[in-house]
Amino acid sequence: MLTVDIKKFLKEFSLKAAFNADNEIIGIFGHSGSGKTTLLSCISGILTPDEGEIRFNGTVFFSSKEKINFPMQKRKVGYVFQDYMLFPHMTVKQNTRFGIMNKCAKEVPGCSRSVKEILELLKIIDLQERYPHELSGGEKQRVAIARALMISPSILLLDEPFSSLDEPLRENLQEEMMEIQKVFGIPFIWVSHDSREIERVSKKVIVLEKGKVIQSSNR
Amino acid sequence: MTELLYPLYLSFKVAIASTILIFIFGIALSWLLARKNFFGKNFIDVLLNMPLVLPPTVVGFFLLYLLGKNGPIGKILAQSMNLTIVFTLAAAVIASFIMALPLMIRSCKAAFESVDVRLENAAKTLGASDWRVFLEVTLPLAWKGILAGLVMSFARSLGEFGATIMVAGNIPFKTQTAPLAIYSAFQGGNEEQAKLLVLFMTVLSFVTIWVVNSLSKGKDYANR
Repeated sequence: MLTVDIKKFLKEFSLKAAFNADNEIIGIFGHSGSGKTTLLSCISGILTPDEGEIRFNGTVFFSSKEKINFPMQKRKVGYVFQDYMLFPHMTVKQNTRFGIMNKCAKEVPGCSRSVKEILELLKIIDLQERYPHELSGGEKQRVAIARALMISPSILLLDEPFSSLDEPLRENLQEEMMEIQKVFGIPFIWVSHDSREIERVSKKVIVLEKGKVIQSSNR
Repeated sequence: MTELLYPLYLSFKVAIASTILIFIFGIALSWLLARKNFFGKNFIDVLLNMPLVLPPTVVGFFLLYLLGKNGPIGKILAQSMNLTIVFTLAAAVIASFIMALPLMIRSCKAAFESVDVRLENAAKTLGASDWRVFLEVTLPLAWKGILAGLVMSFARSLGEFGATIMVAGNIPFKTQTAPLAIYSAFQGGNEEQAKLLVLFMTVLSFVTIWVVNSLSKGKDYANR
């Protein structure tokens, strides 16, 4: 289980968020500037919260009381960034393999799936020799997800994953992601400013406004 | 003929040594200035760029003061290792290094800044160490700027005059590099030799700028 209870003071607002996540999809809804990306950055370790703690299954990711800040490199938190953030100088295959270095997937402890399996799961096996600039938006997003899943993450963070895609494609990918969550059985923290998307993918929804949780619901 | 070739040989020797130093320190300093925040950062940034606008003779004067027998650095070197820097080829290397470093830093820093920090963060969330992020993400995306900076620095080192004459002197077959030889030949009425060296330096400068321009025109991964 992931437990988050943190405060992060920023110039524009202060983020104050507390929630738990089991192996399920948690939807985080909020307009732009509500602190959604800041929250994900704190969980992944890109940003350090000012107060509070983040725990995952007994591992302390962050604790201001215990003065622990577990390095982001060791957290094994998969992060799917809003603008994909694919390495432009690497092919699809190289991007996907980046997290397991140049080792064979089986040599990496905890990595149960091969690159081929992941590429097949995300339906991008035919694109493996292409570069990111040769891909469509939807394809790029599939690669970004494959890359994050390749490290066998303990949590997957999705920051507005499909916001730049058209409607029919969006719905397909949303359904696929729900299936993938079942396959991996880990918490997915899914951030979006689209309330319909959040309602469709998650049963547990947290609503953020100006850095505060104004609503938390289980449906 | 040796009178013509030897200054060129010395110039290349100085430029190669200075470019190796610039490669190491230039990349490290540019990365620090582009990516890290530390006390006195702006001051150091300005200080490193000063040789761009200062008269080279002023830079030479400072170096002469620092490296001279009674200067703060020169004294230590003389006492501990019995080493004299001024009026040697080493002084010419240091002068070229200081004069050309800002060109490398400006080009390199801009190249590092053009690499999206979020790409580096993405690499770190995938478990990559800082060193691996630098080698496999930052460096490949910034290489054009780094190479352009190096080419410019090499050419600048090859053509260094003002600071070199102050701190290394103008000693034939010892510290007389091509630009100094041009000056001496012209002063001494040996126009033929001066003309040949001038021609060489002009062609080289033209090629350098051509290379740098074509590097900056090519498609850049970072902007795709």
